[in-house]
Amino acid sequence: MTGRGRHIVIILLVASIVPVLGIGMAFGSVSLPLGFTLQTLVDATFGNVPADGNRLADIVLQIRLPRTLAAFVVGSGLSMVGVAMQALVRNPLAEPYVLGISGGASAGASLFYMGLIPTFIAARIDISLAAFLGALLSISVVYLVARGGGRLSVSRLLLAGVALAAFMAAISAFVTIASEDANKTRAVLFWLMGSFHDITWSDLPLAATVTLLGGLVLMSLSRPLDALLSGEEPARSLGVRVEGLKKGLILLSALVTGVLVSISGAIGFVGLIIPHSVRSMFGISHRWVLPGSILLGGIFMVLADTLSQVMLPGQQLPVGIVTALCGVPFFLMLLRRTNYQFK
Amino acid sequence: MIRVLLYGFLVGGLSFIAGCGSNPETSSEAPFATLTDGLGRTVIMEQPPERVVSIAPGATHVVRAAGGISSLVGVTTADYDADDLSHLPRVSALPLDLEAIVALDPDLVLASDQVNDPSHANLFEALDIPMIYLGSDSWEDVRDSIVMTGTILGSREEAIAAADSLESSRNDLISLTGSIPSPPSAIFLVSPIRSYSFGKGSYVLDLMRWAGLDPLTAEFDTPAPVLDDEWVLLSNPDIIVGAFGEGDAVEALLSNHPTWRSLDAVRKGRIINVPVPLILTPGPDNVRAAWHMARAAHPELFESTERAAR
Repeated sequence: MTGRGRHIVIILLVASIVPVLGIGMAFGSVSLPLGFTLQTLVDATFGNVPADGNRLADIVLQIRLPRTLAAFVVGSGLSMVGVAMQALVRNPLAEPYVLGISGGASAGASLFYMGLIPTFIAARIDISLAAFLGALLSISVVYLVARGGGRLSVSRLLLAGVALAAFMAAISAFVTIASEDANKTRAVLFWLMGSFHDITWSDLPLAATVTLLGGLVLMSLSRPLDALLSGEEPARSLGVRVEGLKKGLILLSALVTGVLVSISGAIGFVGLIIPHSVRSMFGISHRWVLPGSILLGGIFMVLADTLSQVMLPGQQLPVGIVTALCGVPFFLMLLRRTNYQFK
Repeated sequence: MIRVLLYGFLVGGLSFIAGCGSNPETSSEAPFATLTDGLGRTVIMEQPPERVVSIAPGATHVVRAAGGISSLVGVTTADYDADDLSHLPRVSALPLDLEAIVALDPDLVLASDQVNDPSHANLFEALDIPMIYLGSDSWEDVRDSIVMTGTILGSREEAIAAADSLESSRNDLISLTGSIPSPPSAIFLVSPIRSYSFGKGSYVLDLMRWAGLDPLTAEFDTPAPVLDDEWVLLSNPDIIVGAFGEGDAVEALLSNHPTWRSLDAVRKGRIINVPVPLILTPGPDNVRAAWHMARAAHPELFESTERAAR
């Protein structure tokens, strides 16, 4: 695709944000008149806050709006982390969920939520930090296992990711089964599947800030990331501080994934599908792949979440089910390729 | 329901007497009982049971109602604390701790057709331990389960009296709430955190109807729908019923569902917290749960009835 073509696609993606958010606002678990939804949004925009007790306005402003925005933020963030992970390991199969990072974040958050972190630690952290620490632990272990002799083995990487994901899932399952609080167990089991049902406005600032700052940092690293794709030695010869860059990517990925997982649970495969789709349009330059993935990831997640809401009217269906149904065939298709390297 | 208890005892008292003195070699003798359980399985019991393990809290409740609590040698870790169970060892039923159950040397395992895995019957059959799934799909199932359990455990008269008493109590309640011209709409929540509820065909919806409530979740075909907040807000139930446990139910609900402040049920304080052991265990105690709901939902009905009684 030419530079002009890329510009046009980015502009189209930006232009589609509002209509997609509109779809997210228009469709939900229950059917609301479109005119009412629109009017409520317009009124709120101009400071006309609906009176207390207006349940329909609450659906629009207190449930759908924060939920739709959170879906966009989480989709953008996870896609962005997918790009970062793929650059780090120089392989398009890397993704927070596949590599066990989301699982680590889930395990950290589950341990915290179920009250199984020692009090003297739990008193000093919150659920986001617990998720971050879990994510950091997972990615560090996977990376160390996969790396040997100065090279990163793709097969070891994936196997280590699968193993860590299973290990972390086992920890999450253990703490939920071992818990004597049935209510918390039910809540955690549902949350582990990935869901935006519990989103409130208070969840958004941290998630949006971390995603935005993470995106800016990664955008500023576009050239080093491009250089890293060609290998560590070539990157070094181009003046890239490879070790520092890798550590930074690990930290950033763990931070963004941890914060996002703490509000939405582990939602898989977005970081795989989206960067791959964007690369198929833009090529491998991170100058384009990153903004494209951030935009398309957000759009995809809003649509996936909307689908999850209309599939079982009146009931909750975790969005992680929808993304897995889309993502697993995609992942298997990628695996079928004889050479899953960046072209 | 028919699938519950076609418990015709083939040779009633005679086989009971014969069974008391039988041993494995005298297999030509008639069994103590042949019955059909809540899953429609035919269960043959060679001997009257003396060591019973309950692997469902509902089954424990049925045994208690049937007057057979002294036959129990073990109950589940999920059973609620009660004085008459305090001396009994506890075993895990979900997941099933087979070794711990077998170690109690039971000659009968009682389960619930609503809770326990049907395939577990094969495990106990292989060990020659009879297993009966007590029916609790409907009130008729529960009543029949009580009578059958009492008959097996040698307290048939007591069980029949208990079943009749519960039946009478239930009928009184239905008769009382039947006079309500327009039952208030209600939803039931298993927990204040995640909105697990009960769908079409659930025993909880039956209890709500006995209590003079109109359960809104009857529209869901799934047995355990997780209610979406949007749906709850749009449905705007008159009453929220739940098994919220200890603590302030309203505070717990609102901290997990802040948008529910605008619901009529919340604004008018019409939140009914039913004791967990009464409602979340399908069985005889459910009649008390229905009365609890009815008293809280229709205080005026009970005040006028009590005035009339005075």
